[in-house]
Amino acid sequence: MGTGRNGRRVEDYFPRLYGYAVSLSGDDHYAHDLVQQTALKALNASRVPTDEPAFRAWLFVILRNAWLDTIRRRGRRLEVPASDTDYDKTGEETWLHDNSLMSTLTVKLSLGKLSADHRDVLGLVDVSGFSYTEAAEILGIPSGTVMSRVARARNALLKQLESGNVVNFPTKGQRQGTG
Amino acid sequence: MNDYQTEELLSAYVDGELTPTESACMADAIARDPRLATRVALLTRVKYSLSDLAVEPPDGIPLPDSRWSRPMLAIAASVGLFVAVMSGIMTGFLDFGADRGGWYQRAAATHAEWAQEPAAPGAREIDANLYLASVDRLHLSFQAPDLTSANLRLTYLRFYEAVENSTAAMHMGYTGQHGCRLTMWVTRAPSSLGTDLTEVRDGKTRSFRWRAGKVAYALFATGMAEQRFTTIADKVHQATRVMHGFDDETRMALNDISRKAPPCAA
Repeated sequence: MGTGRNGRRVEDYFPRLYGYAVSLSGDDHYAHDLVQQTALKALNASRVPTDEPAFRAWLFVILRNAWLDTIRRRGRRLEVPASDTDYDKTGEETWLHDNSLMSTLTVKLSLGKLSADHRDVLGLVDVSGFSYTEAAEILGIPSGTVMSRVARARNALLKQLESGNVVNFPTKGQRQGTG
Repeated sequence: MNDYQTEELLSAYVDGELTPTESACMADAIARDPRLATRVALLTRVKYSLSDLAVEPPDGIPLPDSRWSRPMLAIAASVGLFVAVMSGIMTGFLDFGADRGGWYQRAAATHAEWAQEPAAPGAREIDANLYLASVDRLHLSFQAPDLTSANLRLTYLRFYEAVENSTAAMHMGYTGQHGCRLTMWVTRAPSSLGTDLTEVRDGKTRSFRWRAGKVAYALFATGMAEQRFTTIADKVHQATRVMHGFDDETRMALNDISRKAPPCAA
């Protein structure tokens, strides 16, 4: 089996890789596959970074490339990238957002509605815990761009949360269907 | 400073990305302005809600064998899946009557009751958000298959609380244009349930059940041609095993069998 030291090193990052994969694809099952593809490529690589931060970034780059390859192979159209200049001025309503609407489920739902760029940067910074500098290296953009993109992405996420992605749970035993 | 700059700085403050001097200035501003404090709390909450996504799925992720190339893995998976499907269906006949207590009987009875109900005129597709919210209540990782390629729409959704012998469950009802009713029942799998696709015949009722990870699935159909039901069950079973939605080939197969099958007799 592909265990050994490198196997254990890769496994240590599974939760964060999985979270990033969910952020990119919006699909739990597909994220599972992406993590496995990443692990396979990492275990078969002839040269593996020994330095831990470099190793971690290397794994995320593999996963990101696997995702981009899949999109190209399937002819899936990437969403219009988020513009770094179309900042949506924060309104009063967002600033006074109801905290009670936020749960992991609703945040996840809202994340899936963001642009690819916004999902990508939040997946790296918030989900996977990378610094702006590290995220910038993975994305191949300046760290200043990461900073502004994170701010816009969070703003967009809050707007999604606010715009009605939250569904009230049905009361106990209440029928939900129409059939 | 405009809103744009403020928002960037607040966000960077939450991330610990400001210099010590900038951070101290920001902390001072936050202490003097309740609106900024509220915003920081909100951004922090967003950040930590997102960090909750960094968990392995409930069933874990196995480390692949590095000696196998992807084509070999695909071939091995195909062979394994074929054997599993065939042996599963075959043993299903032998397995008749086993493991039907509790959750399965509840699923069968619920399907029978739902199938008797007159179709609601203009039944609409279930809203995805409502679906996800219901899934969350089960605390299980699974997806309802998109069966539109098989001419079936998800029009019914009901969450069932746990009762004395059965765990909480979700009933997803699919309806066809000619009265077909298909139930997908999802609940936490008992340890006795196998992973193979198992067909169960009980009088006039025909159904399939299996386990994928921690999830037990059962499919019941009313009014549907046998071959069509078998194909749907096979494809749904495969999708849950590999934890992936239908690919184009599968969708075409479902569409093909649904076009060729006799219309529903419901």
